[in-house]
Formats: sequence, structure tokens, C-alpha cells
Amino acid sequence: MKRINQALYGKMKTKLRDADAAMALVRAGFDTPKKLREASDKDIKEFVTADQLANVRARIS
Amino acid sequence: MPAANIRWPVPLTRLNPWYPGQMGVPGTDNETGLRTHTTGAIFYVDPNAPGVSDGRDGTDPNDPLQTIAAAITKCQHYRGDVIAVMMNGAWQYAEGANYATSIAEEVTLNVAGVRLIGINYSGVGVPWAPVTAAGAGTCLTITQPDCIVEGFAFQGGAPGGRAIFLNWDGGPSYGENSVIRHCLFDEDMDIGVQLEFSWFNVIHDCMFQECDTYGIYQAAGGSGCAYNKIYDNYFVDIRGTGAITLLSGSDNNQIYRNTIYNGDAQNGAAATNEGINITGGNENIVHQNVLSCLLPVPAVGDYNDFCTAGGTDSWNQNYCLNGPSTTNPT
Repeated sequence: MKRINQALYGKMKTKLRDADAAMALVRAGFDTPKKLREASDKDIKEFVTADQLANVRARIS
Repeated sequence: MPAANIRWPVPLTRLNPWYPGQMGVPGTDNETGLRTHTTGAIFYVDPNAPGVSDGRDGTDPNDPLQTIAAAITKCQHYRGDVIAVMMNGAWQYAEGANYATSIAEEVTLNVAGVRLIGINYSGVGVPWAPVTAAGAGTCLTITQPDCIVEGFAFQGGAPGGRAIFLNWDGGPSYGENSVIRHCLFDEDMDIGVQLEFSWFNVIHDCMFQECDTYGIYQAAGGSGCAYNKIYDNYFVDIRGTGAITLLSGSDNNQIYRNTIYNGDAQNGAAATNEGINITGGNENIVHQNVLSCLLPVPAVGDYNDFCTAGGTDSWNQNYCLNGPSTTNPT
């Protein structure tokens, strides 16, 4: 299992208010709001649920 | 009769903490003095000292280091180190005859827990100038947490550039949890303090005097900044761009008791987002700031023109020319 940067995970968890989504996204390399904003829904959907994606887009615009 | 080879319990010998101090520097023998904690070292920097050089250990105020960069190399993470930078006479209106060499460096503070203090006589601070031409330089980039920077006047040198950049990218750079206070950022600087994904900082009691683009800034297209406290600062005529501009979804910041004077807004001229702009942010609380604009109605140069709130911000009792605000700016 790929190790993740705990500091990045912690920040992403706080930003999204969703630990599971944060874990999945950081593992996938979407470890900053900037990267999430620049990624397409198609790229992110692979790692999170539709609800989680909606939350990501709501919190990171 | 006791047996042979018995080890009698002997009281532990405890050495009293002894802080011999440093000759000529009263108080350095005080164990609860300037250091953050008792193991920290104080490194003195004074480019105006006779015969100054970086080739010394820097802990003797009589033989200071020449540069802040050299002092940083001697610090250790969380040891409680202090870098004390002596005053110089390079302020633009000073006599200029004595001690006129400014701090002129672009350094990276890459040691956690360092306190970087300008030892200055007045509210202006120790002059510190950027060196890279065409405004491309940054005086101080902070890439580790838990630092304090205070008592500097960022001005002069190669005009333009950025005074302080707190950068957190989760890779090698973790610049946050820091305090920036009692500093002046003047018209020679483009940007006073820039934050990138940097959280839990305190920026207070600073003066941003006619910086060319931004006073406190987080760039669009970045990762925002959050949980910062920005208070008791004074912004004068940051025109054309913004006094406090936090973009890219900056959330949960407290911005309060700042005074923002803008001659355009005061005069009823357009001043779009030249006050406080938190476009794209959420859950910031912005209260009791003094703004040189009118309450909404005039449109041009008013509260709604001067400021922009984040979607779920709470803007409470910000004081405009004709009374306190009762809404978020739109």
C-alpha cells in the first residue's frame, strides 16, 4: 500500500472534512487543493464516490 | 557488620544551572531570558560591525555575523535559537552617515522554531532590502514551521519583489504556524506577505505602506490559506490590487481590527477589491476592521466595491465612513 505524506493527508482531511476522501485522493496524488482544482471530474471520480466528488467541488472551487 | 562490596546509596550530585551570560550584554545570564528555551543559542548579525565576517560562531555580540543566511546555517530545528539582527541606518530618511549598510539578502528560513528579530529603536524596524533586479526577489522565504519574524522594515534595495513568502507544499517546504509582527512593508515592495497553502499563521501589528500590488496575498490558482489570524495591521493606499487578498479558496481565517485607508475609496472613486478580497473562500470571519469607504449604495468605491466576501463568510461590524456594516460585501 502506497505510503502517504501524513502532513498532506492531515491538511486535505481538514480541508474536505472527509477523512476517507482525503486518504483516497492523497494516495492518488491529488494532495493539494491546487491539484484538485486543476483535475477533471473524470480524473477524480476514479477514487471517490459521487457524493465525495460533489463535496470536493463544493469546498475547493 | 555490613558485607563487603556494598554500594551505598550516594545522593545524586546535581549541578545548578549556570548561565555565565555574555559580557556587556546585561540579562544574558538570566536563565529565563531571551531564548525560547534554555538550550537555544543567540546569533548576532550586524553587517555594520567593524571587520565583520561570517567566519565566526556568531554567539558573541562583539563579533557578530555579517549575514542572516550565515546565522540560519547555525540554527537547529526547535532548539529555541534566536537570530538578533542589529539596527542599521539605511532607512530612507535616516542620516545615512553611520551604520548605513542595510540588510540586503534574499534568504530561506529552513529551520523550524527560529525567532528572527530586528533589534530596532523605533516602530519602523531594521531595514532589509531585496537584491534581485526587476522585482523578482523575495527577502525571506519561510519553509519550516513555528518561526517568529519581527522588527524589520522591508524597503529599498532593488525595488519590487516580495518581502516574506510562507510556502507550504507538503514536499520539502512546510512554512506555516509562524508569527509575522511589528514589521513595515513599504512602497518599494510589490508584495508584503504572501502565503501559499500556509495555515495557522499570525500576522499582526504590521504596516503596509503603499506596496505596489498586495499587502497580504494568497494567489489565485494556488491552494489557499486557512486558520490564519490577521489583525491590528495598517494598510495605506495599496491601490490597483488589494490590501488583503486571499484567493484560491482561503477558509477559516480571522481578519479583524485592521485599518485600511484607500484614497480612491475615500474619495468615492472606483476601488474594486482594493480592501479585503476573499473571493472563493469559506467560513472566514471578518470583523471590526476600519475601512475608508462608504456603506453600500454609491456602488463606486463603496463597501461592496472595496471588498468581496467568501461564500459562507461572516463579516461583522466593519466600520465604514458612514457607519458599521451589517452585511457581507457582495
